[in-house]
Amino acid sequence: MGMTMRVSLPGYDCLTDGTIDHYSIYADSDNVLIKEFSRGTINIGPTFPNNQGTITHSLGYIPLAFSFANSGGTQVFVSGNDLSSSFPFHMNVGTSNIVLTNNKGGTITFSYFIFYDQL
Amino acid sequence: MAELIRVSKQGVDVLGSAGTVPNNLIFDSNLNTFKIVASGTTTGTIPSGSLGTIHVAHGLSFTPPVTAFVKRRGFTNALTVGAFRFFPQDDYKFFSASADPGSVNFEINNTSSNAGTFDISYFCFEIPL
Repeated sequence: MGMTMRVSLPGYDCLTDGTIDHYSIYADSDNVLIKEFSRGTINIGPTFPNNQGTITHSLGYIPLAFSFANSGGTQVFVSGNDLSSSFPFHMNVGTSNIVLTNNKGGTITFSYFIFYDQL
Repeated sequence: MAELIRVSKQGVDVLGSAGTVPNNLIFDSNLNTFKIVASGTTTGTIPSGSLGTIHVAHGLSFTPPVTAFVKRRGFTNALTVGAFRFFPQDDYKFFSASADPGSVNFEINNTSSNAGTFDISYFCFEIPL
């Protein structure tokens, strides 16, 4: 039997409840808790080629990663596609680094989180 | 010796060398587990051929990092931020998810010739640096 670690939310019995969103922690081989490798901030901008920033992780595989851009006090989720003219930022994740791009102009502070968990 | 809790994935000996590799573990008390501090759902309607923004109060004392998933009512696929689907599918683009001190905000470009109702699930994370 695989190992599991579960902590139920108030009012739920962790020995009998099978609904995953009744738990604050529900971890097993199919529901892995994401583990942080590194976090930080980087200022990027304003114009090419300085509108890109690279963070090296050297994990040797493509990790789960999140990035958020601080645009005038608004925290913006950075995806792989900058569709929005209000928030034209995007992120590419590779096996040795992540590259963040600022197409808004000016200098933008990006926060990033890189996880050990492989995609 | 410092105390710790580690739970390995099935087939991995947590006491062996493989048990020290984070990617082999379900949980490691030495490593921060990224935390969701708030989550919720909201719904909004956007006219045909329009870019609209749907807002909902997050109720937090700080501006959180946020991500979200959106599904157009009457369709089956949920999109992540930056994704899009063309006609004859859902026919919209999920432009952005963002948060300011009071609310979380979702930009959706409804490229359809019909008004659309969009259901959104969002997640607010712990404070970044």
